[in-house]
Amino acid sequence: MIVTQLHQTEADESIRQLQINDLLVAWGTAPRTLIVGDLGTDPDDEITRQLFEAGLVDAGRLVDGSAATWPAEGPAEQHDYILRTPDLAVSVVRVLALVASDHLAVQVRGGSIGVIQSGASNE
Amino acid sequence: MVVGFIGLLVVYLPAAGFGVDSKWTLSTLGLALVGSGIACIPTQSRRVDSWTLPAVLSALLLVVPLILIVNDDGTDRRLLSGDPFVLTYNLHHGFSTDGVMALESMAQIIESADPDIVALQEVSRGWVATGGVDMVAWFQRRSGMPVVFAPTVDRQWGVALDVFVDISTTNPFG
Repeated sequence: MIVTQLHQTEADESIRQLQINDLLVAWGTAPRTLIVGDLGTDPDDEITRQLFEAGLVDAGRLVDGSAATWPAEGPAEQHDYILRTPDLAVSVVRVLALVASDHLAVQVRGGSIGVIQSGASNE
Repeated sequence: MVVGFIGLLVVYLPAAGFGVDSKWTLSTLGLALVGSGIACIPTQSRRVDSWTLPAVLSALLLVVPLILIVNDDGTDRRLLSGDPFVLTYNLHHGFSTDGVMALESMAQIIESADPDIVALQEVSRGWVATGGVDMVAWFQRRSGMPVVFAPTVDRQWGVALDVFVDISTTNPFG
């Protein structure tokens, strides 16, 4: 499991790119991995797309309704992610609609403990 | 009985100071207190030395909390049962958007989800600009669980993991 938060100033896109590069190296395509945290941008952004192209799956796609987490009072963008390798199944995925921070929290129930299910997916 | 009660306090206070879960300490001491009360009831048929029962109970009072203290690691970490619940939460350095310190509200939101592992971002460890709170220490004390911190922007700012389950022998994610 890897926790991260990317630099959030769009003007500094080069820094975010360096962080994505480091993140992909740190992961190293290891199986059965969750990468979670604040990527600061929507799933269709060039930055996040690189993670999906590398094989990671956004658990937020399973959210019943919007996966947006920011700003907390009226979520319009998905900034917070739980990304999984395809060999990890997840079941319950939800955005907690409870406001304290400027972000909402995201929760998943991970599956298949101790059993590698190649290609297993709930999506 | 008065001496017994003072004795209970003498045992309880250090135990609480050692971080022993109060429910264990209080349960043990409560049982001992009831036992002491029963032992003090005079019975004509009692043939044992009148000091025997109080002496045994006193010894128990000393030994049982000691065993609890030695065996307690100060956490309520539970064993992982079933699939793990993972939560990710950007804490906005502990403040609400209107600038109010909201760590307790955030902790309650986390608690309401009852996760096994919590990933936290925007964790401040004493930035003056964010109120000077060491959020790692705060969450450690609040949850009773160790919080693992990793710096990002500088040594006082970063991400953290709060793990509520014992994953020392089982890696839930292989």
